[in-house]
This record gives sequence, structure tokens and C-alpha cells, in this order.
Amino acid sequence: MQLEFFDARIWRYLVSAISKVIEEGVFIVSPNEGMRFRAMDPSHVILLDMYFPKDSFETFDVGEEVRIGINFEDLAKVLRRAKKEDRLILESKDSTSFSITFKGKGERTFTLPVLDIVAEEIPEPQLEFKASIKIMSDIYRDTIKDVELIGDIVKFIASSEEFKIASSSEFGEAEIIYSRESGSIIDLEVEDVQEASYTLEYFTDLSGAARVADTITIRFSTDMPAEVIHEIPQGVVFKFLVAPRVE
Amino acid sequence: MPERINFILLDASYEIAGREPVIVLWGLTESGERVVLLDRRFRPYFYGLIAKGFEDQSQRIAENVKRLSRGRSPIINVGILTRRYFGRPRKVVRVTTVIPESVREYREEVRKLEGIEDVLEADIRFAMRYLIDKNLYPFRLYEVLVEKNPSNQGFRVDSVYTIASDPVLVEEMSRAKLLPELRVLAFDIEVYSERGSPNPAKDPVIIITVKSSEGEEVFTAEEFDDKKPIREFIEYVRKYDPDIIVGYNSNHFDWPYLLQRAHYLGIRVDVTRRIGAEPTTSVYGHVSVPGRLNVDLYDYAEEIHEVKVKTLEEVAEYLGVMKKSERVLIEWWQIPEYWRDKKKRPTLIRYALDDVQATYGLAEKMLPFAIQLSTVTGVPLDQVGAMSVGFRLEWYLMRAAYEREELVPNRVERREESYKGAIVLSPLKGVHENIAVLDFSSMYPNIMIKYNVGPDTIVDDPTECGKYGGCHVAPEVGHRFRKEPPGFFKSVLEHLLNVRKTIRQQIKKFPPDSPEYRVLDERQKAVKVLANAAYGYMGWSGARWYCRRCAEAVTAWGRHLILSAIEYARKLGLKVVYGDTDSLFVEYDKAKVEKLIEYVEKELGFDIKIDKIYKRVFFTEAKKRYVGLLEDGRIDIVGFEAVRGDWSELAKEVQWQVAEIVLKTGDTGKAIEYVRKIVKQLKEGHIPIEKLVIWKTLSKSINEYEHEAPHVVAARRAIAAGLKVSSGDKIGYVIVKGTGKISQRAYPYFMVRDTSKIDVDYYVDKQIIPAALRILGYFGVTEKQLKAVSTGQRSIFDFFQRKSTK
Repeated sequence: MQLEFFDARIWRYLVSAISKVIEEGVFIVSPNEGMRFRAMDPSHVILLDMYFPKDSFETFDVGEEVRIGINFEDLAKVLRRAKKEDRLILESKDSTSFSITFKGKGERTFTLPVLDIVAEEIPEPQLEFKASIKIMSDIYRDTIKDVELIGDIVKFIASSEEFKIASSSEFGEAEIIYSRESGSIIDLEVEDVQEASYTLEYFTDLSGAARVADTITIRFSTDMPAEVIHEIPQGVVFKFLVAPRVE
Repeated sequence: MPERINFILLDASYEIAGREPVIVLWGLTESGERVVLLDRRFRPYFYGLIAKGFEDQSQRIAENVKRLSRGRSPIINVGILTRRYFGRPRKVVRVTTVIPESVREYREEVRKLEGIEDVLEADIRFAMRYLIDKNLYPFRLYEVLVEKNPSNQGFRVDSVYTIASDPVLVEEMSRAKLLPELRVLAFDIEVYSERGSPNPAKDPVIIITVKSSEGEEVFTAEEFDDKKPIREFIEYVRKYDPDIIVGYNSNHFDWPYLLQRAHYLGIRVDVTRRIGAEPTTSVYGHVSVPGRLNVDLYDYAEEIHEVKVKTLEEVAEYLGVMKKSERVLIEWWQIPEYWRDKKKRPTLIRYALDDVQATYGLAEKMLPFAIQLSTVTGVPLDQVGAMSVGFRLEWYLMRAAYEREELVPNRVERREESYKGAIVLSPLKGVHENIAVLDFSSMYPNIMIKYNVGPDTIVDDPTECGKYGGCHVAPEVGHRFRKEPPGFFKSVLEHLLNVRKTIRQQIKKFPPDSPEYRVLDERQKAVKVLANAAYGYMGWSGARWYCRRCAEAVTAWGRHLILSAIEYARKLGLKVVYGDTDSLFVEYDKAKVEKLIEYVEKELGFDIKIDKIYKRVFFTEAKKRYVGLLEDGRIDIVGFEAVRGDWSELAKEVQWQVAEIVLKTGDTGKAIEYVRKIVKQLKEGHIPIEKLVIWKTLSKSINEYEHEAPHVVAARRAIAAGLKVSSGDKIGYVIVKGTGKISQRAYPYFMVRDTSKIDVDYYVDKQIIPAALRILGYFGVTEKQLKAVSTGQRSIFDFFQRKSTK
């Protein structure tokens, strides 16, 4: 099996974000669909879903389905060595190891062991989201950084007019409002008013992934999970579903 | 007319009659008659040890001893004998007098005489002296030549006999002679006390419950007049005439309170088999009821380390006697309320009956072992439970010493001395699959036998070794023990191990559910307890046969042994995961493990066997701390908070469950789900207060505490409520909501009845999470993840489930 991807940095930031919440997981590469990774963190608060479609790769040489058990920390360390303009080649010859090659000014290859783990069977959650907000990824990242200053919990409040992100603690309060007029919102679709709270830490841990995304779509409903979808070039999608806090 | 009768010995005491001591043996004949056997022939004695160099003046010393004789209790004999003292022959004068109490005075005078090095065996109580010298053991069958007395002379038994010749043992130790049915009575009292500790001068005994083979009875006060129940109880005991009376904490509460209360009311607690004698508190803090064996089952409950809080209901639940969920539970401070309110009174009576039933049930579980302990050590049943294991072994040793004409050393006040203990390896951290635990069988007793260890065989001067066919030299510490002749401990231990072996052979003749099997099984356990106590005994500063160097040598040999086994295991290529004292955890490769066992047995000369096999076992880097999953699905948790005392029941439960889930499924996610569920239950107030109680012992008197630890604050509150609290008491408290320091929010558990007052955050952050994290932390789960779970954070699963149910 051999895959070649045009920008190693996309891998770098996605894997680095994943490694903050999950230790191990399985990449599934199937000849018809492309590469997918789904996993929950040990406390089952978030569900990660990363998808690289078949055509996002420049080379997609896959005979039969391949499963690669990954230690994310180790993989993230290697990917941190990715330079601007590096392409990435992921290769797997046998079931015990796989290699990462950075193709840029030279070719640098790292070989890592394949972990003997089984992919969790996770059902596809069927959720209805009554609020859907699409924003630019840099605005999303700034927002997370703002609320981080204050509390551990982030609260989303969405109406047909505006999207408000708030956090409070004994330390103080933060409130960030994006209205239709402000222009930061690309898209806003909300039924009534939706309001839900989430543990901020997951957003913080995963915010690195937004660096390589073009836009972010946040979907949620009152006291229901929120889905944060990262739209990444070449049709790559990284999303996570996070369970709410209900007091 | 002299006749021969058979009897089973129950207890022994003595009385003074006509300026002479009379030994009273309480017994039971095979046909079920309760009898008393009197022996007027026995006299108290002690030894004067003649100093070295004065042996040739023995005669003169004996004369000097005789001159001390006084009329009230004359010295009737002074014999010059040779006995062994720490294995070496020594000359002694044996001084015999008449009245046992006078031994104390003569002892001091003899000690001062010239040529006397020390006085020995002057502190052995007279009735025990008799049992030792006549080789009589409780619950064994003897034949004896007696003459029947015309009257019963104030003994409440079927017949009284006078002994004409020494009793002879009929049944051997290894035989499963079944006893005639003993009458066992359990009792329990409830006291009406408005505030705190009851005061016998004013607080009445409102309920006395009893249970025997004839069923249960309740004796209740007429409102606050308790003369009636006390009289009815006395009458019941006299009528039922029990051989054994059991209670729970009865030596420290029920008996003393009942006796004092009766005293205030002017009632004689005439429940003994000796007319005129009331129960009294005796040597080991036990209450002695002449003619009956009074057993406080609490003594045996204390030895069950698995039960943290040793209340009757907890112990009864643990032993499967009575489920807590199926009985009435009332806190002591609620008793007045339940008594005053006529509607609630029947519940209180039910509670008292449940207590006495539980006590009776405990007796059925515990007495078989207690009886065997008594018969093996030779200590009467009412004392053997109350004494520590060191004393139990010592009584056995004293009997062995008498048989071997060895003098019993005096107990000497000593400071505790420490010495290097057993080896404990640092475990290989992580989860290991398929691990065999190998145990050296009776390692320390076998070391003592093999190397002839004891205070009598230790050799200070190496040049003397030649005289004894050489010496065994302990590794590291270099202490020497002569090879020949066999020492005191060696011969005693060999005997014990042989007895155990014979019993275990006998056992095979009986089906496992037969009463004979049970008797022999309890007996072999009692023998094992004694043999295993020998090493620790030598290192106990209170021991008569104290020998620190011996204990030190034993542990040195033990370390050497286990290290040799480990070295060989490694040579075989067996991974050694952990080792502690006398057990090894190795990877279970059948052929290699068999080779290792063969090596230990053939080359090292010790028995070792596979104790258990863990399907999976997990170690942290800490010693003495692991969790193992056995093949049958059971879980062993060692050294974690789960088995320690200062956590709430809830924390303990969480830890067990988490360990079990992780080991069984290998899925930390499932364990986290479980923690989430518990947190939810706690928040919703569904966890009963009892599970939230934290027990901590007051290690000093309350006034000596400077800082305000939670249990100290709770203890102060308990005192303010009228409860008596002293050093050594276990304080049970819960933390309630509010502001300020946690310690200031600690209340005695009985003051908090509403779960909504509980500080949920404290229990989540300081109990549940740390307890779960101790295990989960080693599987990569972080505190953050667990905390997230605990704070209203939902799980993705909550939303999967919601959908799937539609």
C-alpha cells in the first residue's frame, strides 16, 4: 500500500491534535473509499472522525483494505518534522510496520511499528442539529483562545440573529458575539434559540486542527452534543462530536 | 467405691477448701452428663535456678529455702533436680508449697538467696499448671479413676467426683472424635441511654435477647424498670444451663454493663455453675463465668482483616450469616426514640432479636475453629480468643517444655529491636498475562527446622561448633546454630508439622461435608496458625523465648532462599514479575515452572507449590500492590486503598469495580462509564450514607491533637453529643456541604441522615476519582478525563442510546 498526499503539514496538525485526546487508534485504508479514522477518547466524551477521500491523494495504491494501528504520540513526533512544501508518503508493506516519507528537498523516511490493536466499532450517531453556524477557521481559533482565558466550560447560544460564545468562572466572564451583520459568519441556520455547554478542554486540545482548515461548521442543539466540522482542502474532513455538560 | 469414667475437659479452675487448694475440672461425659472432677492432690511449685559455680552447694541452698517456710502455707518439699535451661542442663531447687497465692511471696525471698540465679515458672497460674503437668487439653476425651461425692457441694452439675488417679487420654490428636452436643447460648442486651455512653447507675437494660438450641426469647423492661428482664435472663441461663455463652463484644460491653447494672439493682447475677459465684473479669480481659465457657466472638471477628468495620451486622454479612438488607438496623442513638414510641418498639425488639440471631449464627461459624484452637494450644476456650497469637503459641511451648524437662524462661521487659525483614522485589510495572504464584510452604517454620534455629541452639563461639557436629551459619548475618542435638523449637515445630500431616491424612477418610471432616479441617488450620507463629514469636519482645538473632537469621535464610529460586528461574528463562517474602510471581510456562519447583525441592530442600494462576495481573511500580484476575473470574486486590482503612466504602467499591472491569474487559472506557454512573447516583442522592462514612482511628487522646483533622473535628462533635470517645476508637464521619475547610465540615455519621446534606464534590474529587485513578492512571487515563466525567459531562453514549431506543 502506498499513499501520497500533497501537503504533509495537514497531516502534522491533524495528528498532533488527535494525539492530545487519544493515545492509540487504527487508520483504515480501503480501496474504494480512501482513509478513515474514527475513535472515542477513553472517557467517551468526544468522537473523532477524520476522512481523507480517495481522490485527495495523488497516489492511491491500495490493493485490499489495510488497517494500521497507530500510537499517536509517536506519529505526531515524526510529523512534527514536516517542513513547508513537504509531501507525505504513507507506505505499508507488511502488518508489523509502516513508513512515513517526507518528500521535499530530500526524501526522509521514518519507519514505525504497527500496534496490534483492534478498531472500536462505533455506531454512527443519528443526531438532529437545530443550530448550524459556519465561520472562518481563524475566527474559530481566536474565539477558543478568548474563552480559554476565563473558564473551563464554554457555552454556545445561537439564535437566528447571532451566535454567542460565553464562559464564566470566579475569575471573570467572557462573551463573544458574532452577528449576521458582523460579517464573520458565513452561514447561520438556527431554529428558535439553542443553548448548550461543553467542556472547553476538548476544543482547546483540538484547536490545532483548525490551522489547516478553511472553514469550521459548528452544529448543535440545546443540551445535545455539538459537532465541529473542519473543512480542509482536497475534500479532507476532520470533525469531532462532543457531548454536552448538563448541570 | 472408685469407678472409671470418661470425660471431655471443658475448663479448669481452683478453689481453697480447708486451707488446701482443690483443682476443679469442669467436664462433660460421653453420655452428656455435666460433671465436676475435684483433685485435692496437686500443689503449687516453682523453681530456683542455681547459679553456675554453686552446683555443689545445692544441698545448703535447699536447706536455706526450707527455712523460709511459714505456717500459713508451709514449704512442703524442696527437691534438687536437673532440668534444662535454654537446652543446657542446670541444677534447680523445686519449691513446693500449699496455697497458690503464697508462691508470689516465696518467689521474692528465694530470689534473694545466695547461689540462686533466678526463680522460674513462679508466674504460671495454678489451674494452668495442673493442665500442663497432667497433660490435659480442653475438648479431649480422658478416662479417669474417680470416687463419686455424696453431694454436689454447690456445683450446678449432674455429678461431682473426686479424682483418685491422673486422667489418661483416650483419643489421639489426629482422630476426629466428635463431641457430645454442647449447649450454646447467645445473648445480647440493649440499654436505654438518652445521651452518649450509658451509665449503669441510671440507664436501664430495656431488652435482653437470647438464642439457644431451644429457640429465641426476649425479655423486656416494664417501661424503665429493668428488674424483670434481668431476673428472667438469669432464670433462663440457669434453666437452659449452657456450656458455652457467646456474645458480640460481650466481654467489653454486655457482661460488664449487666453486672454493674444488676449490682445497682441489688440483683445477684447468679448464672454460673458454682453457687454463689458471679461472673468476674479475668486475666486476658475476658469475663469468666465459672463452669461455663464465655466466648466473645468479637475476638475472632478482629482476626478477619477483610472486614474493615467490625460491627456485628458487617461481620455477619461477610460470613454469610445474615444479610444487612434482611435485618432491622437501628443506630445506638436511635434506641431511646424507638423505645419511647410504642409504635416503633416492636421494631426495636426485632432489631435486638436480629442481633442475637446474628450472634448465634456467628458462633456456629466461629466456634468450631475456636474449639480446635483451644484443644491444640491447651488454653481453655474462654481465654484463647482473648489472647494474642504470641500467647497462644507460648502456652503450647510451655507444655512442650514441660514434656522435655525444659525450664520456661521468665518474661523480661525489653525494648523493641528491629532487624532486617523479608525480601520484597520491585515488581515489573504493567499488565502481565498468565502468571503463576509460587508459594514456599511454611517457609519460616521449615527454615527453623532445617537449620535448628532457636535461643537454645545459637552458638556464640565458633570454635564450639565442632562439639555439635558443626554449625549452620545464617547468610549475611552470620549467626550460628549447632547442628545437633535438635533444639526446642525444631522439635516442637517438627511435632506440629507432623501432627498436621497426620490430620490431613485422616481428613481424606471423610467426605468433605461430614462433621468429622470439618473438625479435622479446623484443627489442621489451628495447628498451621501455631507453626507459622513461631518465627514472629521469637522476634516479639514480650516472648519468654525471645531471640532477636534467631528471627534475624530466619529472615536472612528466607531472603537467600527466594533469591536462589529467582536466580534459577531467570536461568531457565522464566520471567520473574514479582516476589515477596515466600512467594514468587513468574510467567506460567508449565514445563519451566515444574523445573523450578523441582530445583527448589531437590536442590534447596524446601517445599514450594503453585498457589494460584492469574490470567492477568497488573502491577504498579510500588511493592505489595497489585490486582490480579484469577482463572475463575475472581479478582484479588492487594495493597490498594480498596483494602486500606481510611477510605469510604464507596471509594473502596469504586476501586474494586474499576479494577474488575479493566482486568476483565481490558477496556478503560467501560470503567470510566461505570465511574460516571456512580457519580450520577451520588449526585442524585442514591448512594446510602453508610457508604460515605470514612473511618479513622484516633491515635491519641482528643486533647493531644493540635491540628484539626476531619476525624478529630468529628470526634469533638460526637463528644459534645454525649458520646464517650477515647484514643484507639474508630471515628466514622461524613463531609457535608458548606463553606470553610473540609475538616470543619466533618460530622459523625450518625448525625447526618439526609443524603442531600452530603458534599458531593468532596466525595467525587477526594474519594471516587482518586480511588479510580489509582488503577486507571496506570492505563493512561488522566485525572482530567475522569474529572470531566464527574462534572455533569455527558458521554457520547448517552446520545447513541437515546436514539436506539426510539
